Amino acid sequence: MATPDPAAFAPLPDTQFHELQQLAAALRPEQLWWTSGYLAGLAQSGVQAPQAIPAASELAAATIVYATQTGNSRRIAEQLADRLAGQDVRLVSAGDYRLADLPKERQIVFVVSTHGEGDPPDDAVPFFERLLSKRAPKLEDVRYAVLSLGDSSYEKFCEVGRVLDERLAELGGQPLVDRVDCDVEFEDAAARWIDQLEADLDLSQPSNVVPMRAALPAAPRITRDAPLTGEVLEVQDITGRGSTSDTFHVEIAADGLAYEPGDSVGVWHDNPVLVVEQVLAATGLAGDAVVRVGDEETTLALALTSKRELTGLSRAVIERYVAVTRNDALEAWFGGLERAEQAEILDGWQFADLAKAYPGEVSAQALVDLLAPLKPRLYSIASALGGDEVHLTVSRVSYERDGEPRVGAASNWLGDLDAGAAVQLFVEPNAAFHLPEDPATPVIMIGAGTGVAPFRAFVQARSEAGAPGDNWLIFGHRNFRTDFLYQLEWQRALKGGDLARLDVAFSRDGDERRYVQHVVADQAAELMAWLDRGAHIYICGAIAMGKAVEAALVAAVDASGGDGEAVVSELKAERRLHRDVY
Amino acid sequence: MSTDVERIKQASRGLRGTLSESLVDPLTGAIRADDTTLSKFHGIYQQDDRDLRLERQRQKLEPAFQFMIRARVPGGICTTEQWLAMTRISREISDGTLRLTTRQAFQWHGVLKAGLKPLIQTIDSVLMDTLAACGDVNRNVMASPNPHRSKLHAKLHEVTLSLSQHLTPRTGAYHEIWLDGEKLARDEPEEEPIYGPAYLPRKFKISLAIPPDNDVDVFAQDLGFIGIVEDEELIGFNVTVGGGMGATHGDPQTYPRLADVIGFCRPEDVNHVAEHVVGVQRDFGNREVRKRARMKYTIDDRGLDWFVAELNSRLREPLAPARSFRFGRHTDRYGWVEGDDGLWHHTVYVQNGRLHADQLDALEGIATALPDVSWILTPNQNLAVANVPADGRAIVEAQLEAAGLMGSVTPLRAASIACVSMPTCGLGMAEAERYLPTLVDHLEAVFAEAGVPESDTVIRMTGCPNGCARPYVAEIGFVGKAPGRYNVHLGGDGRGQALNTLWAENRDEAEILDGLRPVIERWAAERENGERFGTWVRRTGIVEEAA
Repeated sequence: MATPDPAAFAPLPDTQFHELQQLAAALRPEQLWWTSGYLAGLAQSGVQAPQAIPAASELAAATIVYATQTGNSRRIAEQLADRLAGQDVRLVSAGDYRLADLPKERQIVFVVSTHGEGDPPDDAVPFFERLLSKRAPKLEDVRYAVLSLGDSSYEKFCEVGRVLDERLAELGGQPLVDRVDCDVEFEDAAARWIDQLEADLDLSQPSNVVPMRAALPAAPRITRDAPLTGEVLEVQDITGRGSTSDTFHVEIAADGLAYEPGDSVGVWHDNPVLVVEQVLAATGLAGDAVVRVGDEETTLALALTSKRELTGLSRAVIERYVAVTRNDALEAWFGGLERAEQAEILDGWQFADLAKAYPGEVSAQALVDLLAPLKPRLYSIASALGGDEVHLTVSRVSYERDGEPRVGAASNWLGDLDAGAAVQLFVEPNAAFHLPEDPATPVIMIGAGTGVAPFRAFVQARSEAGAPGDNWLIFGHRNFRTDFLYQLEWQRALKGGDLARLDVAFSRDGDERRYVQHVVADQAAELMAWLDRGAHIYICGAIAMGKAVEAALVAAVDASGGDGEAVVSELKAERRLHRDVY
Repeated sequence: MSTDVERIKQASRGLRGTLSESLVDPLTGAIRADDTTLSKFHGIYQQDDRDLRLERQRQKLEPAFQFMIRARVPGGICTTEQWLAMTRISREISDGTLRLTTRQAFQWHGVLKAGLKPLIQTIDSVLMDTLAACGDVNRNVMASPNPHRSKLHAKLHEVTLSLSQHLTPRTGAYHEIWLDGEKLARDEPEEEPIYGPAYLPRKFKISLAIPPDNDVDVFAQDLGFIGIVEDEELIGFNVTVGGGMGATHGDPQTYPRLADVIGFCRPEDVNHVAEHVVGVQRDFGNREVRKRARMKYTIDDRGLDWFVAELNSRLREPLAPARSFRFGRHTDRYGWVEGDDGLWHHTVYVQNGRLHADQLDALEGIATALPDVSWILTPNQNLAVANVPADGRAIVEAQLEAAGLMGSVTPLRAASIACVSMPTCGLGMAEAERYLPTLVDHLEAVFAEAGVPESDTVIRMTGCPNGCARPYVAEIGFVGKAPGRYNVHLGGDGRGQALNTLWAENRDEAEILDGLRPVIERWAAERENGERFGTWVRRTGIVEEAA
């Protein structure tokens, strides 16, 4: 190497030094000055700045993770846990383990088995995929051990344990004891390994340091017009085969995007190719026609893709289209409609529907000029894990009109993104839908379909904060088997106490249609008890569902001998009834 | 230290556990973990669609939980009314198919939790049950079909039904949970005079055969009865104990074992003998190590002489010396057979024992036209339509034809069976019923090229080493090891009286075919007097005699 690596002389680990370099490169001179003072101030303030002390407060001194297919790994892990009983040890399956906790562990012990052609047990597959992906966290202060089970008559004997061991080391983990590979008769080797671990694990309580969060200076403001560029980490279908809806979960790396549970995120999307082609077909224009958008010269197709609103329709657009095309028939028809009918058209039609029903002569430039600028779409944020990620729950809009496919712009654009794609984002705060100030306040969350999204954020936030208040989720959708959005997470939350109650209503399973409002009616007494304890109610979902739930609340109070209308308006006045309906 | 399963059984209050609560939990398609052990005693296995397991986990959905339900059919015979109820369940509640099993039982797959009660209630409505179809109790009692063929078989069926009844658990849990029967007045479960509160250490299998047919594989059972005939009368049975197929890959402590013949008893003593064989296993079986809990290990651990002495000490009178017998085959005979009474019986090959919806529809034509026929499930998971008057044969043939069950298959295919395995069985390590037909295609070609297209070499495949399709007595046994890979065992004798031997390990399709081709060619060229493949490979030392 010609020049010595400055990192070699830095008192920071390589990765941190690298991050500091990156940050410094992006700062203007006055920001650099400010930052140097800020960091010096932190160092002198007498408060202990967050050091490389793991946030061990909520994690055990040692965590034992097992990945099991036939139960052998689980049994060994349980034996170890039994041996260490009474000490600060946590036992968890790889399927239930949160990778985000890994860098915070002090000591982590894995018992894993290998199956088939070197495969991990079924329920551990996602864990290993993530661990082996580039999203895996760095593990500077984590000590680990691996016991690997396998069958030497297979070619890839104990492959999973070996790969795990190597990956943990690669991520910076420090081995506690050497990995042991066990064959079919594993009992003795496992027992020796347990003995050794018992001797080598440090189960003393961590020093009583609570990492404090230094007040950070305001980051450059992220706004609608100055959005943050996020990177798509994953787009995952979350409705099962045979579902009548197509709902997916998006995870986006959004470094520095500050939000609170209940807030929405605005997404700047492009119009899907199909939508653009349908507008071109309906207007008879060529996509390669050159047009000006503001100061910029571009093609019509590109302008329609990323500059103009095509799937939402407004009164002003119709008026401008009438003016440009001198379409008297359209004017007469639309003007003759009742207000409510007009609203229905504006809500349900795309621009292509208008141009197809009322064709008219329009130039490429005139089309660009008459259409409204593209509007971002808002989605309730479905995560609160921090870690600079934002998760969304999106239902793909797709239907037919007059035998032609119609798709929603943003949902289809998002759903078709690949990992690594860039997304422009900003936060749209929704202060009326934030969690109660007091973490001890019980909350009742009523959500249907993707309306469950903010409640995933709520439960994550209250769990992370160790909020003592009870959480009750009432979820509704169509079919239990395919549409129980985030089912595994809710089951886990219920098991772990992050949910005190979980009720579900699936409208298409039984002979009778059962919705969330029916749960409210059935659970009236319990609901009243929660309200007596000061519970807040949150409702999220379609407008009609919101109304039905409110009516059910009124009826529930009436049924218990109270004055439903009065109680509900009082709840609203006290800001204990929160709605996010769309 | 006893196992989890022992703890769950002990604490189950006569197999009740929390099954009733599990059934109404709306948050999961599964039942509680402990209840999955108990549900087996009610004939119910919790499974999930393994093809969807990973996909659903990514979708943040629980596994596609579903249930396999098995109905007991002692001796494999049922009425038309019962048959129609079974097929109705396939259409309305399960995945549309009806699976005939290697133990002459009906099996349904893909049943959702909400379908369990309606299913069992339908079975109950035709006086059948699923109780003890699985679990650590005596399972469905098998017997050589068919009772109508001769009065010997009729007598055998009578003994079978009585024995099955005698060993059925007495618990009221089944009625209480599934049939909305009355709850226990006190929290005192019923007494189980034969099993006791913890039932048996492991499953228990019984079959009854009349030579020369060993279709029930009597030596693969914990307890077997071999009918002895003198002067056209069934004078009694040789008693066999200690057979069992299950093993675990790579664990020499587990192995398949053939039963030993230990004596002779009269027909009226069968229940008495069986009850006390069960009693010895109940009292001495291994409850600490579950994979060593079958009766075959109890016998090997303590010795056969000890076992016989212990049994005889409990019997009214000791077993008499065994009589001589001779088996000819352990596969099915196909086609028409006329019974002693002039009625006709027709056995057809059912691929993997699985009948599909359109086949069930076609078979319903027989039920409509000839409601008095009987329906018989063979031990090789095939189907016989029995009790057909001579003038009804054409109708039966036409409907079997419509069901696609009259097509000619090679003797090789007709002698092959596979267990279920993927995607529903939780134990499966490799495909079985979804793959065996393809492998048989290839093997048919190999046998044909070797000049023996007529070979009826017995081929059996299981997706795991537990042995539901009794692969260890096949002439060529395939035991799943990993997706696409099998252990190959050679050397059964075509009569179910010889264990085969592991010949090649962990082989994929190409390796299987390349490995077997020269052996089959050599056998075809060198065999003596129609010597069977499995006998020949042992005589010539291609595999060693099983220990």
